[in-house]
Amino acid sequence: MVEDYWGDRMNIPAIMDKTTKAQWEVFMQRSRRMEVQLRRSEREATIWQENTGYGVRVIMPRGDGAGAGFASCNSESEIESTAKRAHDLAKLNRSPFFELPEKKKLPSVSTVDKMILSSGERVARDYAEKAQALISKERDISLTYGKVRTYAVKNEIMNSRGLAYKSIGTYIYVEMTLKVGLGSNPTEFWPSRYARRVSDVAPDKLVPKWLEIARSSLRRHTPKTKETTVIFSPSVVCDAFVPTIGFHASAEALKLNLSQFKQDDKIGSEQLTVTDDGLYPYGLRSNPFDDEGQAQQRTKLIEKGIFKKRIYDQLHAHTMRARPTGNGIRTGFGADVDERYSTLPANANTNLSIEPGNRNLDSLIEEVDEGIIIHEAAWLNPDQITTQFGSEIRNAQEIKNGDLGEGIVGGTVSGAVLELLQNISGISNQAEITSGSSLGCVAPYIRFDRVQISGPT
Amino acid sequence: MGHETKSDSTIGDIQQTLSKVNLPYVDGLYDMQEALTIQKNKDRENISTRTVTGISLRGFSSRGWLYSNSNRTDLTTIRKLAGKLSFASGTKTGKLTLPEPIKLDKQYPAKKDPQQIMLEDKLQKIRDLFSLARNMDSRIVDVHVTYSERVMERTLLTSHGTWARQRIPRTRIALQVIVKENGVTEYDIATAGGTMGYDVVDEVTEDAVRETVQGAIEQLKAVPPPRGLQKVIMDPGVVGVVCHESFGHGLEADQALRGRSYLKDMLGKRVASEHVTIYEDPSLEGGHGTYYFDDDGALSRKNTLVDKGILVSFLHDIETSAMMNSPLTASSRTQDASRRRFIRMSNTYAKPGNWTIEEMIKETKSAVMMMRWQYGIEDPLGGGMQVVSKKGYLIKNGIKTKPLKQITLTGRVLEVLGSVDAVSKDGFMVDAGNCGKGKEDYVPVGDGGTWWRTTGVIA
Repeated sequence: MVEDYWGDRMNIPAIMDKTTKAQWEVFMQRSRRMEVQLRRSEREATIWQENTGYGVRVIMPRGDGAGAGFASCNSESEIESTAKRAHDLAKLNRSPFFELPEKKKLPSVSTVDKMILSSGERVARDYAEKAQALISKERDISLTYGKVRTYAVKNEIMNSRGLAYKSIGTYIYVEMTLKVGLGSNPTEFWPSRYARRVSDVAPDKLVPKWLEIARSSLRRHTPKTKETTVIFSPSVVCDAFVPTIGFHASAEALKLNLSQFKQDDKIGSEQLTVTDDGLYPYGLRSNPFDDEGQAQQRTKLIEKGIFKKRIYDQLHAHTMRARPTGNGIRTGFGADVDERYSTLPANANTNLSIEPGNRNLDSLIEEVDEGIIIHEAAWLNPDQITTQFGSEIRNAQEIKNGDLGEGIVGGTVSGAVLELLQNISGISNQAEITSGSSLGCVAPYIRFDRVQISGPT
Repeated sequence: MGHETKSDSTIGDIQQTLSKVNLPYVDGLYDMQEALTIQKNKDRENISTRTVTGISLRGFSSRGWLYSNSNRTDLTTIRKLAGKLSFASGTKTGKLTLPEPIKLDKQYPAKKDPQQIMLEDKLQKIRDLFSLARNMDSRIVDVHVTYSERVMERTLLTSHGTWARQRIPRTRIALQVIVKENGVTEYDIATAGGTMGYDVVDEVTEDAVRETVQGAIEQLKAVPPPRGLQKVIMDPGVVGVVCHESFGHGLEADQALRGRSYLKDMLGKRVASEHVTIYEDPSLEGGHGTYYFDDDGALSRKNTLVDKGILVSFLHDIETSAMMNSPLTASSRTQDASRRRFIRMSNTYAKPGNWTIEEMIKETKSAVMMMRWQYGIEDPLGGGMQVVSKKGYLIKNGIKTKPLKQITLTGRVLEVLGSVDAVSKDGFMVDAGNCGKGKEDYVPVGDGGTWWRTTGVIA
């Protein structure tokens, strides 16, 4: 169990009140990670990790604005010096003033897999062995490298307005590299997924699905340069939408005059409805409260292609005279799960939930005379401001006369995400909790018309 | 050893505890990183500091590598971590190439030690850069300036007798100018960084700011690049990303052992044109990926990866060096003590050639010129590539013509390297970046070279 590890704690409010008369907030995380890494049929490494961290923010009113300082540390014994550091930093800079949230009733949301919480080590080991066994039955596909990691994470926040919340979450991360083909010219399928519970990425469901995609690359070719119909898998949708829709729907983007969304403007196809859903059961960014202590909620951003509402953190809600929507989120370079304590909250999405359509994936494929379904792109990574992207196609399949055909590996898919939103011609009827380079997406398959594909010819 | 630091008692506890672990090879890494970030835009200023400490104990057994890590540093925790290794005690181990034990305590000299500069002065410099850029053109809607410094103090103790500590300062600065006209929003960005001190801010000169503003304005009228297979001229930063992301990851010997490297059987064979020589050098002065010793305790050295087109070396840690019977290359690195060590690159760059960039452009009938690298990603098994630049130009009949929007280069790495037909002697630089092993485990790196001309698929 993780409870015994969390143990007792110092009286943090007393330390903070002694250190500063300004508003303060302390965000804490404690976690246990257990990871197994695989090299072909062997175990390459076993990693056991415990993590503790404290992020302290001080907001000091000054003139018509405020100073805001942030400092983080790993040890409870350093909280006082860290608080002093944050206090000193707040004396220096210039930011708008805003208030930290007060305590109120929180919604409930499911974020825990009891098996991971109680036996994360065994879960990771069993998952890895099952995956190895399933892949070893393949003739033309082999596992070259894999990671299975479980997390049990406790988040805690308290502030100078008397707010004090706790939550617990679990995660599992699975990454596999599958070598496809035995000859001198193999290719690779390299997927990865985060989930809150094992059942969302169960090895007997996920591994066969990944193997099926890998098999489609056994016979493959590069694409021709053309505009064509393209279906994005949920993880590719996640990589396309989270950095772009998430940013342009934020209050911060509007404040900086960078948002391309205006309220009640048509910004996409009528088929597109997107909700920022901080309460999606077992969503990767689901939690009763955001990383500033505001209750998370559901906010409909886009309804039938019309942009409706923005997401607000505390700062932008205050400066733009709006209600906060629970979108003060800590995220950083490789610090999305249990190292968030070391980052400042930013105005960002929780789970971008794309409403499913009314046809299944097979129907979306059947309606295509000529096109491509992209299972994995190398790294879509669209530009937040311009939304432009260009990514190598790692694992795709051609669609001809409504049927899936040979694999496509190589070439590039490119465009601008906000332009693609106008070209949606179908959305599948099942959405899944998914992750790509970003966490925080619940996505179906989406079909786009007139997408630029580039190949050597 | 050398100067005393506040971590000495923790290091003593690690050393004493590790001596009781019954495995043929164990080591302990104590890591402390202190970071400062200052960000400014028109709306607000953020100042944050971050202190990350941690201990990573590691043992090698027949069950592979065992790690137990924590960012608590008390003796009770250290003993608990050692207990996690002990469950494999007495098991047989594989072979390792252990480097000569070193006794070392080094501090990288910075021209201007960032920790000796007043925070108020740093903030004022950021404000000055912001104002300078902001007032250069009415189309500017915002300027984002980010300054970051990180001082890493890392100590390695091994059962083989190594006691080594290094203190490495790394700084970076980025200035992004965002412009808007007729509903079109665009930007350009200037960056500088390396294993250096506060002197990094001196690299963002008024001329560099003006060039960035002009670059952003030019992007407002930029057009998408012509697509398909064509001649490509790359700036030194893009060349560095090709050498590192597209090519270098395939030379990480852990990938070769997994059966995950398209270069596995290419040692001694031609992998690039005769114009291409590529180095991997953790001892490069000022490179963002520079260090004195790697996280296995091997001293840094300059490695030649490709010599006039011929592949001469993979990158190794103590395990792959033994398994592949090759010399150590000081390439074992970890992001911090909460993660495992992998084979990683440090500063990867291409040797200059004989052309000038003016000659290269003049003697090119038609090409896409890629400038301002944004990112790249590896394909170690397939040998595919994806390198993205923020902007570029169309070259027509020896003249730089239209500005181009974001450009993606794809294709086969060996075809792109094999097609390099011109390498400039001027413009050498090694740019600062961060590299993941896949999508995780980021370490600071430097990538660079001079201008190249080659052929590739543009999207």
